[in-house]
Amino acid sequence: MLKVALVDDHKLFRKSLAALIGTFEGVEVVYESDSGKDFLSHLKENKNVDIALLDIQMPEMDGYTLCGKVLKVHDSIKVLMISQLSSKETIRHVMQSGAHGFVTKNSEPEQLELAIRNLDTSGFYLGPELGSVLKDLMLYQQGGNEFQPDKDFLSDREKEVIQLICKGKSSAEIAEELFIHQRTVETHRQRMITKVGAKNFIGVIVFALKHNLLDVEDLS
Amino acid sequence: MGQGEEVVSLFYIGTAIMLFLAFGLMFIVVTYQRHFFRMKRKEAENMLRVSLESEKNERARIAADLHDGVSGDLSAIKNYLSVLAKKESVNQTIFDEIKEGVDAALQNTRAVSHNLMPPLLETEGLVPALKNHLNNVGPKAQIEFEVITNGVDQLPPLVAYQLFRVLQELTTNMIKYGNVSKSEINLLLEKDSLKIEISDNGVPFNFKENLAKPNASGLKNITSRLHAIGGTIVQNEEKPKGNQFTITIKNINHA
Repeated sequence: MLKVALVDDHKLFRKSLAALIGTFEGVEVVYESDSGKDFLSHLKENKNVDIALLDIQMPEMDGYTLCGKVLKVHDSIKVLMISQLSSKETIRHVMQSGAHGFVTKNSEPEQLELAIRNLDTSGFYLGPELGSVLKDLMLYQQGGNEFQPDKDFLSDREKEVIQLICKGKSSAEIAEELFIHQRTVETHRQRMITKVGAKNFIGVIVFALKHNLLDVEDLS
Repeated sequence: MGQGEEVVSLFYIGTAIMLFLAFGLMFIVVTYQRHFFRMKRKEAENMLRVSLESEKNERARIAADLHDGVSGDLSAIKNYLSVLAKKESVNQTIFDEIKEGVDAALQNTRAVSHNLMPPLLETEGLVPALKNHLNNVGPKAQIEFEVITNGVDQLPPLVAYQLFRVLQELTTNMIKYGNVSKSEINLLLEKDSLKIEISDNGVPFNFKENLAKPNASGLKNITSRLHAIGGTIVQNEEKPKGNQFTITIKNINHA
């Protein structure tokens, strides 16, 4: 069973989300709270959470801050931000906070389920919102005399892995498609995260796009 | 005849004193009146400022309540509907109608909330909020808006808010009456002053003449909002086609 935690101060919405997630097969809600602080102290004692769904606008501690703290306490947890906000700026902040995915509160239930499953299989979720702002995001981040990688900074194999991951394929499926071992796929993934110095795989994608190692069209 | 001379000189001295007193009195009255008018004007300016500021705060509060509260409730209903559809056998037509209704309510709530208080203004500043707004209204009205800026992100919040409202009013007029297909908004920050040039290719109209009409509440809004932040608007000379306005705010950081 995939264990999900919910943190949102809007009680009715949180309850409805718990009910909805409860209908997804193989997924259960193990914790819910209206306070980030309570969630952090829960995590210090129980590590039985695979995926955390965090609201952004909360009193006391907002979702971005909470996300950073959650990952510090428990670095194998996957964070899905869920918010009423959907502007580019919001998504930019979401990416900077180290979260693994983003859905809006207006998303269809199918999209939420897909996000949760993708977080489990590939460690991140690039929804339609995230995809559409990636290009703008790159424009935002351009400029500055930072490190310029070579064209072959990422190998062809690594680029293939990125493309397949972006299509929402699991490591097993990628292994099958590329005729390599599943462990090798995992190694590629980890190596790329370390190589670009990212917090998670979304960072790798942004890096690759930003430095023109990949094209946005490659990802769809 | 020394006595006669004395009377005459006394008369002159008396007259001089009387005149002096009369002028003095007039001077006091005039000064007081000027002071009084100045006080009145200052009071009116303060009133305008306060009412514009409280309008802003109130709008922000209602927008936040709608956005955080009502939208969340509606999203919750949407989630419960999905749960219901998964568990029970429902009448599909009615279910779809309800879902459509909730989606429409969500969209309307969002639109009203954004209209009350543009979501990016507080967090990201005038330019992102303006671009976002024009991206939303431009395509529907088939107007190509272009916003050009040299980096005016750090405006005081009240100035940014009033300018947003002014530009919103001007662009809404373009959409409603202007028959415009292309418009350019240029924001230039020079040292301590901000200059905004707004041009379009639509039907020309005379700002001053229209301002004098009794039903020009939109245009009056523009001038009083600008007045509150120490800004002015001038219309560059009329062209056979299109309009061009320049808004200037001096001492932007003390506005």
